[in-house]
Amino acid sequence: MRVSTSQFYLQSSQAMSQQSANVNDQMAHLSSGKRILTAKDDAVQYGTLAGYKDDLANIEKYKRNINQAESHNNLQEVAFSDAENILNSIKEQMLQANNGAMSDEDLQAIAKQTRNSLDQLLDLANTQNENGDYIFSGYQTQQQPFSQQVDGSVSYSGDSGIQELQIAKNIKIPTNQAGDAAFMKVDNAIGDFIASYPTAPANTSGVALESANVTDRNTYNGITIPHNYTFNFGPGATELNVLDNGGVNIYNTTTYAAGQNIPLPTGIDVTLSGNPLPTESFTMGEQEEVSIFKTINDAIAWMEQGSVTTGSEQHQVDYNTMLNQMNSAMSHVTSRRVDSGVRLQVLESQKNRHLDTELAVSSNKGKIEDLDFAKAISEFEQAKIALQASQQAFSKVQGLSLFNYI
Amino acid sequence: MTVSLYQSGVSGLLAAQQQLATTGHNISNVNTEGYNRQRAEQNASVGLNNGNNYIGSGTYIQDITRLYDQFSHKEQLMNQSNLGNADSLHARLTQLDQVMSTSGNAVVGSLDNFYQALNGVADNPNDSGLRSIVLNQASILSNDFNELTNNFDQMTKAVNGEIEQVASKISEISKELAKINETIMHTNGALQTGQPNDLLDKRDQLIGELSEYTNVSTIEDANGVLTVMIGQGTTLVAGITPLTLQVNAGDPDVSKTELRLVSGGSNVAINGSKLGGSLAASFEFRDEHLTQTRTEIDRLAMAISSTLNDSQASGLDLNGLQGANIFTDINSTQLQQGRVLAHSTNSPVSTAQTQITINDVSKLPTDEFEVRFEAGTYTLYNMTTGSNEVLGAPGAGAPPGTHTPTSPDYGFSFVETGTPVAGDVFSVVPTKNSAALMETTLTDGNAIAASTAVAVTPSTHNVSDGKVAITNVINPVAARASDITVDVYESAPGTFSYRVFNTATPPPAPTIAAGTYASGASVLVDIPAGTPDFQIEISGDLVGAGTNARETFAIGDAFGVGNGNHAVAMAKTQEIGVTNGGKETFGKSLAVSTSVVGSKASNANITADTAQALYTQSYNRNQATSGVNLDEEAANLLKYQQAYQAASQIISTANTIFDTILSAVR
Repeated sequence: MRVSTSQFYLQSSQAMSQQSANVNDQMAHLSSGKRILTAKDDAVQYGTLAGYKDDLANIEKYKRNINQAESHNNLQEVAFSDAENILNSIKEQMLQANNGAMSDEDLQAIAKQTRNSLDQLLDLANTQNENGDYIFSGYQTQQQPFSQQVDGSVSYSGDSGIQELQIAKNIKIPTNQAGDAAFMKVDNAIGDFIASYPTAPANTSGVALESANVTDRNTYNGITIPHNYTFNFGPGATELNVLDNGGVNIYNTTTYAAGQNIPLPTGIDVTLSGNPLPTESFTMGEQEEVSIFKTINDAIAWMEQGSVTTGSEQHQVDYNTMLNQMNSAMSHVTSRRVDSGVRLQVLESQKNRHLDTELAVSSNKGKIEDLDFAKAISEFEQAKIALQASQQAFSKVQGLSLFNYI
Repeated sequence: MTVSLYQSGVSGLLAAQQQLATTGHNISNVNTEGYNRQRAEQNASVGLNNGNNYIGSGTYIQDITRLYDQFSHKEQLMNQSNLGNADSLHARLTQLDQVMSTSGNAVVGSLDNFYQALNGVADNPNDSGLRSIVLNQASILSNDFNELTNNFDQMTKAVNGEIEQVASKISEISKELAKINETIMHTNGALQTGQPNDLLDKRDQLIGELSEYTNVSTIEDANGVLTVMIGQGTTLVAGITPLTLQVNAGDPDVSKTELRLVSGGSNVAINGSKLGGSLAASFEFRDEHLTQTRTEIDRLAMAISSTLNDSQASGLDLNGLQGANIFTDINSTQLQQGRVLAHSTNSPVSTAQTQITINDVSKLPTDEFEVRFEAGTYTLYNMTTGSNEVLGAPGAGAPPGTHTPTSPDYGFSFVETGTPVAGDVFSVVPTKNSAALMETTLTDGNAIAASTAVAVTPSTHNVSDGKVAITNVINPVAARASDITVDVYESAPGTFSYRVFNTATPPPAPTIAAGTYASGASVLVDIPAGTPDFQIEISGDLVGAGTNARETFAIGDAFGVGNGNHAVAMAKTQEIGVTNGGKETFGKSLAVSTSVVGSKASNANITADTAQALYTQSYNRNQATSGVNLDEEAANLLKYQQAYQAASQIISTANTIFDTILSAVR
């Protein structure tokens, strides 16, 4: 086929500009280290790449949340651990105080120690975090949760809110424990009721309410009058009458033996300890939960009574109730500490899962996005050589003309 | 005899001169664009009868023709149009691809930062520094969308500018062609023989230039006058009459300029996208690809705005107030009215005022719509799928004037007031301006609704698996005042009976709601019934131990400065699907748009390469016939030089013969 002069020049210049464009392209890829700079480079894989980038951004977000949640839960765990120690020392003081050889002054001294421990516990319950927020206030983080009234009782002014953070696509973890759940709602060691014993004249037999639990909620909820019961012993030696709030006798037995189960028809099972004497009585009211502070305050009041000579059986009954309640409080605080610990475990394992996933996603992303340097450099060399070759070919051939010879 | 010899010599000399001149012309025009090489056709002169023999009397130049193959020329024109089209489309799509990839990355980055900041507030809702960081990120995000829209606007302007330039170039070429046609006609008409080769070359070169801009086809008549048609047969040059192209503002969208063919005092509309060449590529890019991408970006901006605004509205801010909009309301008056454009052909008597209200972003398609008022009713036409649906008469619907398409449900309502005139047409683009007008309207960080309004607390006596969850908060401030109890028990095997009531007035006082649901199902309850402040969902096998031992849940105020649970829920919107029927998250939506543009650009690249190769081949074929080869011309120079020398030798010989005879007579 005949080749015209302008055709020759056009083709040569086209070839050279094509090669230089190739070289340019390769340089852009080499200097950025990426195979995919824009969606045009590989439209099909671009979507997958964008998905991987999204995943990595999400994992980053979760890792940050996990860090925050860890620091919050750590602070709580430390607080509960300190609380455990304080409660331990209070219990020791209580045990000490129960020694019959203690004099009034000794008991006052111990009561003072216990009061100090109460103050420490109160301070702990009002812990603030690094931002000045109270950690045991629920949602009301600007509000100091626990305050001691003039009469010594401690009231709670936070709420029960639980704050959560997202640590994985479908997993949220709590980052706080509300103060009421932590310190005010300790399970009643007796069950669902507390007893109040008469003071004058006090019971002398040492009869005590040992356990009282609602066994049949259906019947229990069906009663419309308040659940206050009076236990009257006598007039027989082993006779027991139980009256409900309206004064109606709902249970009667004449063969009461210590420790036997008293099934009340309102769905409550009661067990007493001690051998009651006729004319003794006590009343029982609903209370499922007891505040730790109330328990400690009761202990202090008990100690401040000094050494008691009259009514020492009732004094002992009171002491036993308090000690049981203190044990319940201690195991409650330990459980709360375990809660924080469990959450920290979950956070740790979730963090590891995220790190693993991050590694896998990063490497997948790299496979798509990263430049294979060996291949790219060899392609670059090829393009460079092609450019050089076309330039040299042009310079050699363009000098050939018949006009040089005539 | 010598006389004839003399004559032959001179004729040979003259012929050689013309040959040399032609060769010289070819050599000088080796670099002229569109030049077809010329060749002088030499014929032998008719012999003179002398005795019984015919003695030849030399030579003469019959004709100087240009070596022109009209078929390969036509092939080159067609390939040039395709190349113009492919190149232009490739360049524009590559530019769009780069804009989407870089700006798209910026949007993804600022979206990530915004949600990260939101998570920071979720952890520490009381920190005003963190809250203002959220608003900073939000305004960076809305700026990014504005920037992206600006880029699109610039591209549209550039394309429109190019269309105008090309149109005026085509008009100029048309006038030039008409002039050349006239000159050629005069030359032919004057009964002159011989072709005006250079004029023809110039004309062909102009047509070649035209073919880059549009498809060109030509018809030559007996006088050598060429009628030129562009596109699919629209006459541009009718013999010696040129027509010109003019660019008019679009109707109803002013930025979608249109072409008109002007002839004398009248003009006709031309569909630019059917013209072929780079002009069609410009129209295709602007009206299809750029519009599609812009609509998708607008829809994404609308989805982000409406999702976050709705989320804000169901929570409480630091002062206990309902969260205000973070971004521009998607149904602001300016946006609603901007979505409908009335055609300029609508009757000036018509008083119809129209707007579009968006109801559900997830159902919004990227199609284009038109609403026409004909035969007393408004009808919605989907310009992309071709379907239509009758909307109703003016003033129909509830509230009056609101027409919502139902089959299919596109997620928007057409709202009209006023009286239309039959024949009124309105163009509807439901997503228009969403990205351009997206702004962060919230300035006070305390107004971020991080706190939930109500929370559910299950009773500690509950024993079974099941829950009451808050699904929808409509009025969070009023919801705070609720103190509700929900109780459920298994009234019959597989059937659960529930009651929802105010804790202060338990049954037998009237309940807010009561009923049953089957095992495995769930029930939604409005609280309070009728116009709810919030809704709850009761689900699961909530087996109580009897009619009195029900599973109970307390619902009450949950507001607190340390409550960041609503911010957690807002942050989760990054991962829920919103657009395209709820299937795509924001990041995915953007990635899909970018991938589509990338694949179009990559295809255009391949098409452009192919078109270039085809064009080069047809150019080579054309050049094989018509191109000047300097070596060939150099050889011709020698050839004709020798012929000239030989012819002059003839004259010298004739002279010698004459001298010989003269000297014989002396």
